[in-house]
Amino acid sequence: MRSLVFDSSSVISLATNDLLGTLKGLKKLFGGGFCIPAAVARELVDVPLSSHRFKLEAMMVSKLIEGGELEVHSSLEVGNLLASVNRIFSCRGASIVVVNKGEVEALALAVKIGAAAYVVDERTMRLLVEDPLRVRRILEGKLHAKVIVDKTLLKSFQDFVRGLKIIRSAELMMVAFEEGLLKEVVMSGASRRDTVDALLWGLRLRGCSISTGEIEELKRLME
Amino acid sequence: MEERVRRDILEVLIGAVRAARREDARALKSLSDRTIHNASIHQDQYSLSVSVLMYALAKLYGRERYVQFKLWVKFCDTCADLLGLAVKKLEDRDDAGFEEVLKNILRHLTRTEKKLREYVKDVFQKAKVSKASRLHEHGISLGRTADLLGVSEFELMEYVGKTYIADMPEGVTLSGRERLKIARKLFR
Repeated sequence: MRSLVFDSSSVISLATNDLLGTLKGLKKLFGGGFCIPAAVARELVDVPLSSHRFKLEAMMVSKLIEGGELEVHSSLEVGNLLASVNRIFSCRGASIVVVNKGEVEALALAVKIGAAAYVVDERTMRLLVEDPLRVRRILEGKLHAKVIVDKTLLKSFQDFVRGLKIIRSAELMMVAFEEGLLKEVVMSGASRRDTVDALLWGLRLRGCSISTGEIEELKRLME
Repeated sequence: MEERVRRDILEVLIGAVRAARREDARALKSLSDRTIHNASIHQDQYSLSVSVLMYALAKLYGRERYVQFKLWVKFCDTCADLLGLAVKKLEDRDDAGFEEVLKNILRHLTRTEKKLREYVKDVFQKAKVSKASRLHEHGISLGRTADLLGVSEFELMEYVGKTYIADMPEGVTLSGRERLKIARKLFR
């Protein structure tokens, strides 16, 4: 079965923008499953349910899981993968831990089930998959120190994720908009440009890693 | 504690004692920034705690309205004394003692008059989120930074979204056109 795997960041962007409702229509259109690993489900539901802030969003995500719009996959053994990813970069003799278990579990699930794409709004994981040397550039630029890359580990990671495609909640919502899935959500009479602007800035301001330049480009493309 | 981390924290805390005595918010903020590099590399609880503490103190000292609280002067004096004690523990290489003093500082900050206590709690929570955002800016993922600082990813994303991090040029790997093409293909 075709599938899309979501990490926690992309679901959070949709939840905090009240756009989770679009996933039902998108899933139908996609003709496959929308999946999250158990560790991501814990981050999205169990953790926020224990406090007042974002409890509502956690309940909304939980409802999607109940309804089968988001399918939770059982935990994967990712100890070795997590350890090796977090040893790719080092500085002053210490390995820099760049990602956590939930993020790596989502990535591993996407690779394991041959997902059509991995939906991730978080910057570091996207860069690791698409262009890991940019992570080094960021680290060096901010730390003002030389960052060493373990080329063997990097190559093995790149082999592992080869071919994996990444999209963000932003592109998902562009498709939802084109397919008319946002009619119930956005006021009628708004121009295409305004609606796209509102969607993209809403997602960006709640944490989706999309640059101002990319937003402008998408606005032009969607006109 | 690693020797480099100890040296760096010691320098920061010596500066912090001076800054706390002068109620110099700007100096405390700058000291908080200094610990973030070690916090990014070593991700040790000492660097993280000191960074959050400096930032929270900078925020507290930076708001004039706190001066109105009856216990404010005593509150500040005790803070500076405890920071001095933390310096002593580090100089003596007493890691356990240092950790205990850090805990005492936090206890002291939350054991004041009720209204000030509420402010302090709020400032600390915001300091954690702010420092988590700085770690993320350094290239550490959202999930990892949320774990390290004990904040929720929901809260962190809300904060990060209002920063310029998404506009860093290193963050753009594909053009909007290319990524949109991938998404469209998935649904057609």
